[in-house]
Amino acid sequence: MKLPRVFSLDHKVIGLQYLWLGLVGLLAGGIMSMLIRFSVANPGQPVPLLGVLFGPSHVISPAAYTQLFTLHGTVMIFFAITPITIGAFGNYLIPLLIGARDMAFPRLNAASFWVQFAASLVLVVAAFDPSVSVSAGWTAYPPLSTTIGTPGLGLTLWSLSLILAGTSSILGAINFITTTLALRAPGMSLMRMPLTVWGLFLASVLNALFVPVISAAMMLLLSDRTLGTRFFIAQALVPGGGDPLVYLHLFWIFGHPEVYILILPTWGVISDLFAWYSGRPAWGYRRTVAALCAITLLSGVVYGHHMYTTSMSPLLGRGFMVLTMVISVPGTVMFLDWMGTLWRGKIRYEPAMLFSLGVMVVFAAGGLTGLYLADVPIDLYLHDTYFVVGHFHLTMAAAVLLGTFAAIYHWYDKMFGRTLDRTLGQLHFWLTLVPLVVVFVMMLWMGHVGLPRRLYDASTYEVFRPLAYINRLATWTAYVLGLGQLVFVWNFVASRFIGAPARANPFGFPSLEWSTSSPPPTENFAEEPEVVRGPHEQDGNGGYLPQRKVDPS
Amino acid sequence: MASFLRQLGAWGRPLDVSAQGWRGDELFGWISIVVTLALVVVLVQLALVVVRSRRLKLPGTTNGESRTAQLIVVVGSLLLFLLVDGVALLRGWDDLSAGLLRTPAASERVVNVEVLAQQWAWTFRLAGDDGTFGTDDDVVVMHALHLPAGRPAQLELRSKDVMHSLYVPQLRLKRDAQPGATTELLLEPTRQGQYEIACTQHCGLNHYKMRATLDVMDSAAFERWAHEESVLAKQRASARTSDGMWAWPFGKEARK
Repeated sequence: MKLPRVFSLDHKVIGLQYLWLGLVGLLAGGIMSMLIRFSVANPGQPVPLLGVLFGPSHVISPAAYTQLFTLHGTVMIFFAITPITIGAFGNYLIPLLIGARDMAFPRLNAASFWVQFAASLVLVVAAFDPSVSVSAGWTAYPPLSTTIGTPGLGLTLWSLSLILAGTSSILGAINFITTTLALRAPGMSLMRMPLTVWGLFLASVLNALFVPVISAAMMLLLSDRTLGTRFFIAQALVPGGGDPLVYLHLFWIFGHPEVYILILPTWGVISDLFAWYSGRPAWGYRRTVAALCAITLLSGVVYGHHMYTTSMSPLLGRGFMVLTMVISVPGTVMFLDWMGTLWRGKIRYEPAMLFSLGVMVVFAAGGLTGLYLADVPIDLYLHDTYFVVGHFHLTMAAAVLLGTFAAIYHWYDKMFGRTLDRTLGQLHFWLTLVPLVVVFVMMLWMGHVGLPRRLYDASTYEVFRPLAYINRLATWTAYVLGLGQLVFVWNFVASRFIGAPARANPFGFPSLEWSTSSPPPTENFAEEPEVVRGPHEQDGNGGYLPQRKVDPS
Repeated sequence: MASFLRQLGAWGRPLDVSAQGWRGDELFGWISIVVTLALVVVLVQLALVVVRSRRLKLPGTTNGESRTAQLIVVVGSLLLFLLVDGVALLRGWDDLSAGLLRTPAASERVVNVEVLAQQWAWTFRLAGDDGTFGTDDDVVVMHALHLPAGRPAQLELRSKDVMHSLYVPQLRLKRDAQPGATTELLLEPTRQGQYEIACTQHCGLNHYKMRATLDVMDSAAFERWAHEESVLAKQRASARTSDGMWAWPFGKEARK
């Protein structure tokens, strides 16, 4: 029986399906962030344009506001960034970059996409459930997230949706790991893989290890919500109950590696792009790989820094403070290696390179602000304030968003066989980087003044009233950021039809995907490529030697 | 001009009114200097990269795996770690032992307070004249915590329903209130005045309204107030009061 093309098993088709799914998620999460910014600056005012979403009064109520920030976090992490960076790039790029014809398990691959698709549908139903109960925050701390704090079908479906999304991630991770280890073309040793593949591979390792933990936590939560168990409902309330702190441990054992799962593909991509757009070898390639591996290992043992203010033992807090800071060592190594690549580089300011440089800037700012939060004495003040919001948006959201754009600008030709407009790409870069930095630095500032996050109306507190002005400014900056993305939407969609046809290798890139047509045929390569060198070996004239063995004929 | 400066002041961190807040503030200031320096170095280097790139005919060929490069990067990263993170760690460690997590001596006349959090209110309980929690003369106040200036206050927190977090910006501290557990927080306000207590753990629809007042009083005035309230509580006590009491034995030892 022949399946329709939409159920294709080709990794490139599945990759692009993931890309579209993720971009729709990104759009939805982005619109939510605009609504959140509107509400924060004008609590209780009718919403222009999209007001109809909030009933006849057009006003974002406290209930709608809590649902918005919960959904924004959930959608951006599990339904935008994960499907794009891991689902789309992982699927599309891993086989092409290592010279494989497809994923190791094509059926598992398709299953993983369709499970993710089902998860998205369940989340949409949850979001429109009239109980407006998807409102416990994306972290969903119990007992608030149990029926004691938030009854309603919405949040129950939300936890089901996350279980499905987790299942999809685990299936994908098994596939990516196997493919990377087993299907590399002859000559493609691990140390000849582009760093993009390393980033995706290590993210998959973390996915396979830690997503099961959140899936377990979500199953227990689902059970508390539907079967009357009391895993996370404390003894003080119900005799014979459990302990909400257990959920926090489970959540953050996953939650901290998760930020590395999200950022590792971006780190890999920009490590390659820095080299390819400056004509340089990836400076200290082996050292960068070692640093990425060290970060992957350490990412599993720092999660306690999310719990300094809980009833967790202060002694544990101290331990996690030390471990958290240790992670800055491989982080610095990686950063210095990027600098070494760029140093004496002959830089081409294509949009992909601009976005990669942008990652470096926001990641420096975001990473350095982690230094404050790792310290228990400072965190007791800054925890749950806008400082944290600014910090994780710079490191995770902004860096990953810019990295995602970098990858899309770089591989669009290959994916769609058309060329994106370069000038619009550069315009999009500036319209993204500047407001992004401004908005999150303003959040850092408001956080350092002490403004707590997740407040529907901060003017409840006299001490924060003077911040209303900065808050409004941040909101207007966010609108600029939002509008700037329309440039990208136009460029991305229109170039598919009116963009110049892409050549197989327009810029003389050395990696394997550029040795086949744009877009590549089914099974990727006319004949199996033989790899003879690493991904960034210079030819002495400012270009690169192709990784693939070229026939002398 | 003056009003502009006032405005700028209001955009800064609220004044620290605690005995220990300077620790975090000092560390914050020190890290800020380091962070600013690091960012400037990164941006200057990127600017240099851009400038030099224009003059280059061909990109450089070093691959960064020579012994010198290895040494510079690895030793440099370790040195940076020791200098920056190391200092922050030592300072932070010391701040915890000496200040934030210290056990105050009995001679400091510690005020013990039991805090019950619930959606969406704070209730504070003092032991009253008899010094024991759970008796008829306990002083129970909703929405307001009264404390003497210049004396440490040991808070124990519990929650009736979901997680909450008690936060006073001017004291630079917060601590979660958690159902099924008792958490501790040492407050050391130094300056009289009224401050705001906020809940910083998302606790439902009216989370943003979960506000209370911290009233820091002169020590003598506090004693007078606490005594009057305690006498009043005892006068008004009845056999049935104890039914609704939620007090718990205070202190780690007593709770065992």
